[in-house]
Amino acid sequence: MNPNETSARPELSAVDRREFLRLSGTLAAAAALASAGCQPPQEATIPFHDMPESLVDGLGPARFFHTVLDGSPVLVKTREGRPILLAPSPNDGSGRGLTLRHHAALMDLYDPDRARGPLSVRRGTGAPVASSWSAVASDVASRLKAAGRKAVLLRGPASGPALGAAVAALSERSGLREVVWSPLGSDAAREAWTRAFGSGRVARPRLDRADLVVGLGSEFLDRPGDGLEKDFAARRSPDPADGRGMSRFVQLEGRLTLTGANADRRIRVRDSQLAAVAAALAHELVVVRKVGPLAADAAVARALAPYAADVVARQAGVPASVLTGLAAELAAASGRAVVVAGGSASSAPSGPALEAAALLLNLAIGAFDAGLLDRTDAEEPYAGGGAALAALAEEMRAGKVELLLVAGVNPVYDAPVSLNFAEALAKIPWVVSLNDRLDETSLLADVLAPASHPLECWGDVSLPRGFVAIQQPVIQPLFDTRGLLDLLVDWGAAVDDPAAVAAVAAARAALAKPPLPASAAPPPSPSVAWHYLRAAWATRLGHEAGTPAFDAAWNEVLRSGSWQGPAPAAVGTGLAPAALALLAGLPPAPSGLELQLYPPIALADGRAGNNGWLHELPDPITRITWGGALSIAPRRFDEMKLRNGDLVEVDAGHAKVVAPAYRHAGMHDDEVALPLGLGRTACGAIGAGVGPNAFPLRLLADGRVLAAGLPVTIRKLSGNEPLALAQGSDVIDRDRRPLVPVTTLTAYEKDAKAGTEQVEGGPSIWPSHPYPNARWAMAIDLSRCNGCGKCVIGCQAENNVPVVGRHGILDGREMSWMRVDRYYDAPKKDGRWDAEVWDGPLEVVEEPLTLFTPMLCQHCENAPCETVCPFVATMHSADGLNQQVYNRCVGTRYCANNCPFKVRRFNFWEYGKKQESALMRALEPRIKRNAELNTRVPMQMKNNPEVTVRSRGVMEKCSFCIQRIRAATSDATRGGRKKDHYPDGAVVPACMEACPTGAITFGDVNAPGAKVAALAAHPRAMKLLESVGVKPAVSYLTKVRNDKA
Amino acid sequence: MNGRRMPVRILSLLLAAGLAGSLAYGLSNARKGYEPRQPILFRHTRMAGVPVWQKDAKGEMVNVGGFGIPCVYCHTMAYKGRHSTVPSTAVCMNCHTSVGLNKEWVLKMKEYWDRGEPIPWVKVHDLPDFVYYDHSAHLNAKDEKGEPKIPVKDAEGRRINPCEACHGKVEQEEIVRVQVNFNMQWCLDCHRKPEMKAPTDCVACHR
Repeated sequence: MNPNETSARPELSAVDRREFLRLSGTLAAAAALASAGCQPPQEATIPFHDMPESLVDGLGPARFFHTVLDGSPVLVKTREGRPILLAPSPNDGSGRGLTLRHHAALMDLYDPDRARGPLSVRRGTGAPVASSWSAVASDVASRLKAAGRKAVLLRGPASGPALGAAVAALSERSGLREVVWSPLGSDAAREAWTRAFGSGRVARPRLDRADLVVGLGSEFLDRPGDGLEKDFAARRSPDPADGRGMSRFVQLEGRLTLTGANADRRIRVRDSQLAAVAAALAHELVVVRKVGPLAADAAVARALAPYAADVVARQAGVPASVLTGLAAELAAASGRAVVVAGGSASSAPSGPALEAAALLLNLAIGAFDAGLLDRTDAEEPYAGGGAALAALAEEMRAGKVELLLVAGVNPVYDAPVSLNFAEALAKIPWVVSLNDRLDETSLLADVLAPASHPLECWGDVSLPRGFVAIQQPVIQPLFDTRGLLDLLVDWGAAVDDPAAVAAVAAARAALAKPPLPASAAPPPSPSVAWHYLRAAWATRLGHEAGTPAFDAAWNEVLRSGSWQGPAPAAVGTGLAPAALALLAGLPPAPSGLELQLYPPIALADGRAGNNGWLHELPDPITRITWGGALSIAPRRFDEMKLRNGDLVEVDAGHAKVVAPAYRHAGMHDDEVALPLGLGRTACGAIGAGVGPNAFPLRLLADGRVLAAGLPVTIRKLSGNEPLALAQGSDVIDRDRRPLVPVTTLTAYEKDAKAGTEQVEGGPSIWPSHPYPNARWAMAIDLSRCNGCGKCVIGCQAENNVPVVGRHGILDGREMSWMRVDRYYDAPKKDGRWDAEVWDGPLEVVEEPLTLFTPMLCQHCENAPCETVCPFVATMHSADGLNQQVYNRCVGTRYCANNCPFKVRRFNFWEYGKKQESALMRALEPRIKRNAELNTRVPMQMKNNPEVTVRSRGVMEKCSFCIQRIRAATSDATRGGRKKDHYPDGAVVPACMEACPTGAITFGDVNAPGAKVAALAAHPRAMKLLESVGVKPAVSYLTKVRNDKA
Repeated sequence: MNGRRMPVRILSLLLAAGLAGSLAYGLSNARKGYEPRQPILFRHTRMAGVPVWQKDAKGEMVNVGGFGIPCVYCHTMAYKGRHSTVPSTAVCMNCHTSVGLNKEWVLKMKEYWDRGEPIPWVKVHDLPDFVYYDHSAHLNAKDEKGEPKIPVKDAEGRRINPCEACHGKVEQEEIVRVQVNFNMQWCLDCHRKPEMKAPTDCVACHR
């Protein structure tokens, strides 16, 4: 203060009375305004009108239901009557696995772009008009009767006994014909097995029994629906509990697949040459080495004669010594080895020959007799139906089809272009689509009668090993939709199928009878499918429908998830010579470049093309999100002077597609690959126009849909479309950055600690935490982890993690709490690698050694994030958790900056709410897109009520599923148990629950006998960045490669 | 600097501070004394209050007090789940099919019942959405001797209602009113008592 002004003191009264009053008045008004305007809003609490008896314990706890989805049993967790999580069914005995689409099915269920009710589409002339179910029903019934044999139901491969019976009854009474179209179905295996054994059923490889697995283009990890990943992982640990030892996996393939990335040895063979290489292996085994029962068979020797190892080696560009060496390995492991063929390579022109050669190999090494190919566990592969679809298109063009019902397939999008399906559709007088939305096919239909999501309606499904499961709804239909079985039974009743008539009558009676309040027995369902199913299941369960015994048996099936009937007959053993004919005269391999079209692990055939979770899940190998790219071998890529994202035109003769280029490690030099399932034009706001559509490149030849071994040329165009890559670097030089523990079996047997070597660190200045009671910790076995990414989706669903979209990934603003890093291991080099290693030199990426690391918050004991937060919004809890307090965080992002693991995620946008003004949405398109991806009704219904939906400006990260830990704590309190320690299994985080291979173990490391403690103390265990002294709570167990040939 | 303005500035600063303070107070979830009007004038005094027997005009003994119904008769989940739960109308109808059929508010409740509509009660004890409070974890919490941590007996050994610890004597309230400020300070006052051995980690309540 100016000293001169000290004299101003008497002037304090200068604030005169009026001014004082004016100011106080303003203050009073402001305070009143503030306190009135800032009162917390009044909230309603709405109880039941009449709480159902079965809910007497209230709605709080989660409920779990078994059902089936897409042919695999799932466990659905619901809260307040809405599904919030899908997990593998713990009682499944059928051996089916869950795909990423299963885990992400909530996004399909709560998809706002599904049709809200029946629509009169009128083949896209003008906007669709709302219709009604009664109009649809009477229309279809009368047309069914009129069309007779000229009515066709075109449906997808998913089916069940009840649906089959309903269609059979319809076709018997009205003449309706059924055509099955499965866009990804491959006829190759079916053809080879039919020729060999007279049955198209293919035996399941038992990878848990095999000491040696040889994959011929196999993609069993890329197609997890087959459920082989669990068996495979069971033998991938170098120290198994049962002492069976580690298996060895050799893979021959052209594109680096997830399966190949998990191989101990990978041999690059292009798809078109795989059949010849497989035959050469068979020749070497059967003819040269005289291994197995086929050695005496002259016909086999004749069929294999053209495939001498040195001849094939020259053609395929593989050293003959590699082939003879592998054959020797197979011969030595006879009775303990199995050959798995298939995958995309089976859809090459030589696919059936490849399958036939694999059969010969398996017969030669005694895989059948040793039970490594389980004869008693065989099932029909997906019906391919390329020929059937072609015949249908021909009939459609010839005017032999008057009514087409399309159920769950989208041929306008995925049929081979030569069929010109859209044009053929136009020739049909009446087309009814039963798909769930206005997709490419529905837009060309007359009527869209939307089918419910499988989680909303009744049905049943046949599973392997004689299991049959009931598909029970877990939520009322969200929109005015009807189940597929309901519709078919309705139409069956219209043509007087007695079973359908009875079901419809029973459903009507149930509707007419008002449910009694609080009656003990649940009222009968008004769903016709329910009555139809129960009548069908009465026979199966051996009780008369409606009796208490039947009800008990039925409820038991619903409770346990499935019912096991008699196991199907074993597939034959004797080899019919017809199979050998497949090996005669293999189609020539393309002289130049060849193309493979593969179903990406997340989107597969693109059916779930509007699923944000699937789009955002990085491909395990390419790490591309929101789109796809043309995979080009690194050498060719460099020769063409391409950069990632440069546009390239792929010309297959019959079709051209423009796609961004991607430098795909481990690709065969003469092969390029494009993912299918992208480029949907009409699936909804989320997925429309994402990526290139590769389906037109597929070729229909001799009734088979070819998707590999297609001759193509590629040409660089001008322009670059940035790839939304979820990972910055590809190559890891473990000499400098020992961040992934990995070793070989030989080294491991010498020293169990091999591979866990780390940079030494100094002493810590931090005092250690006492952890008097529980301490939560995790162990991840990298030998069991195959990098599939199901943990990522499981986490996203459990923890309300938003979808950030392509713009979010490109901005580096991904939100997923868990990621699976993929690295290519730079081999040891004299004089060390220099910085050039980060660019992926050819000697690293041509024959890559792939590593996967699931990465999540490490809950460090000395967490670098905790010390820097100026608001103490993140700190350590007494039980070892690194807590993140959203309502304290102001978003300085200092913690993310200081986290060495890059696991902290910042909410740059208000993802969870749609609260930005219309003006802001117009000004900033990313706000509009975020709302489109996350907040359209009814998407919010997927949210887990146990987890806060974060708002803009706060940091978030993995919480070790704190909500589940707290549930266990409350549970212990209620049960009067002590809370100092928790037994194994008391808390299972979402990632561990989703993991099909048991790679993730979580628990209280201080509890006596805890599995996680044993794993953390295992010689294979390594905690990351020990030199920095952060002391993570997550241990990684060495990935061991079996190098013992 | 003009000396005349100085006091004005100080006063303005004070005013701004006062304004910010009142804003903060308004924003904090201070709801002590909050007693919203419900769609039905449900009297906890009548249902849960102490019975008071008196002779009426005809000389018959009638209960003019309450029926002493335990809290969990209606709030069934208090010991079992996170929420104590508001009862469904069917619970009211357990008795009101035969009693109190001449009372205005019973008839109002019956209207809801007959229409098949749930009663839109107004939430009185409303914690912020980022707080995950669990009734069962509190009511079932026991100390080492196996005694409930929330007292069920007073100093003289008389039984007291554990719900009182937070909700006050609801059975004496015509209209339910929030008795304490349910803010974090109040939670921690209890959680920090050494004998409580209650967690004070953030993630105990926030996740």
